[in-house]
Amino acid sequence: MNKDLQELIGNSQYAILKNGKVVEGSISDLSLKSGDFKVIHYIDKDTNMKIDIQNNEKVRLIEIFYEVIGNIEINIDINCHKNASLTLLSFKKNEKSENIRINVNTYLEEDAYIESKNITSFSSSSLFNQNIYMLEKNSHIDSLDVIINASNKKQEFNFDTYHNVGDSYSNMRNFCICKNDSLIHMNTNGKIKKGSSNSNLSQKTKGLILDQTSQISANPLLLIDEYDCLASHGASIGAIDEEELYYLMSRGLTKEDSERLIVEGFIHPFIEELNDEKLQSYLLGFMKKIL
Amino acid sequence: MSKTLEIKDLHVNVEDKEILKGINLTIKTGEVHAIMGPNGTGKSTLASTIMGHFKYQVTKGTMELDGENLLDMTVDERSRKGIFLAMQYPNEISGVTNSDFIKTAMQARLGSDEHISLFKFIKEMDKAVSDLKMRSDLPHRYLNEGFSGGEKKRNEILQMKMLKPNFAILDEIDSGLDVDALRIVGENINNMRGEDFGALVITHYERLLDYIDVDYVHIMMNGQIVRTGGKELIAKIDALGYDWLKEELGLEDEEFDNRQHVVLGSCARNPKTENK
Repeated sequence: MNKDLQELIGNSQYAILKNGKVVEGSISDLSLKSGDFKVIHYIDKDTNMKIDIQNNEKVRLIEIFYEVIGNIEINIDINCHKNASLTLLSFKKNEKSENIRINVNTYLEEDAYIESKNITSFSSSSLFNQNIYMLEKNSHIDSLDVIINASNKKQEFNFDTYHNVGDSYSNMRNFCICKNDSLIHMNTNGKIKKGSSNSNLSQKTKGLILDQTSQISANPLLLIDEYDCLASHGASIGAIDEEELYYLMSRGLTKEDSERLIVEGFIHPFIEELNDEKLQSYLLGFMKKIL
Repeated sequence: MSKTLEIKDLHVNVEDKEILKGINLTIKTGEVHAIMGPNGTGKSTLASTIMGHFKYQVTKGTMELDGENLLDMTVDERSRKGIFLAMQYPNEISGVTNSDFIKTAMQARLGSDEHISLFKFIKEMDKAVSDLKMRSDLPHRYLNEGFSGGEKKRNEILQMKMLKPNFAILDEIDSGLDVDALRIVGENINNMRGEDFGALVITHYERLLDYIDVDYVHIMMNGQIVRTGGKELIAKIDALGYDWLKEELGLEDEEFDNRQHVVLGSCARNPKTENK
């Protein structure tokens, strides 16, 4: 294990996975009981993996795609069982890759709760499908996704949420940042099945375009088959607010520094949550490089 | 050494409409000027033009800081030269903490080899927060996010205290402040008086000026400074308003000129014609 990785892991319970299999660490698999964990991924071929949060357990999981290489497909299933709680902080990136396809399926059982904050920044064209299934009542997910595309390529994100039962709650917020003649398609579908009364589904997408040639398309869709529910979606896309830029520049910050602060502001809620100086520094360093 | 901000015959357009019609104003460090006047006469336009807001086009005139042409400078260059604008409606910027923002702004004023001492910065910031009687968690809160109107205004003064400009333009800093906050803000501004600090205070009301020692009072109307005097002007405006001055100068309100009438439609019902 190199020194940088050792510093990132620190004294946490951890697992290093190679193509989805644990090769080193203080935990032997991803069937997790209560505690704080760090999972470091090395991936260079098609990979399937499963993360299980057992009944009544409370897990905090930091997941880093540390080295991801090649033209690959990654499938991840996350099961949050009855009355389990998962706080997930995930940083997905790749390098030296022509194309990456990721499929994440998340299943929530009765009284399960997931709070997830994710940063995704691929350096290649990509297709990312995320499906969240509220399987049983009182399941609850709060998700914040920050997507940064400075790859000069097209990246597609399909984020779907399914309320299969009533008394379920989902709040999905997506922030997309695009530069360097890149393209993001952000498709968010919310489905409320008939009989899922008292469901509450909320989606919000905000897109920030940092140059003249990049593009973001946000396509929200709600398919609601139940009268007694709450559902909302919203999307906004634009360049950095000129009045915000003016305010920062009026304090002496250059235009570049002002833009950087505003963009870092998108990422800040994620960084703050890390509660770990080495990790924060690692992430900020990466962001500075690509932005 | 005293610095001078000199504005001569300044004309400014906003969306092809002339708002400032020949402003002449000289402010030196060590002086506090107040600008008063009815709504819509160009006071905030003047403030924003000095700062370099993109919306305002200078069509004629000059603006110099110690002989240097401000009109050739970008917004951030003007700030680093010593101009500060306390905004009337400060922006909220999520994800940017107050301390990161102010630290970056202070660092921007230093050479590439110089760095702010973190210890000194924290000490100064804590003192400024305490002087302005703000919440102690202010440094960690996002810039103006979730702040009340009064907190936003006090945060403007806090930034001013930290950045130590030569010229501060305070655009209606008293709006939204309660009685106690007004006193605190007024005292903090007054405490900055010195040979390296000059201020231009834009206000409608006498109350802030009870706490700030003002050297000159200017009244703006219809895009021009129409009267300059001392503190006695403030009491007169407070007692009599602006009508006496409009009459004296033979001025008419421009506020409602050139407005286009728009018919919004009506939902009024006429029972007599309804059942025809």
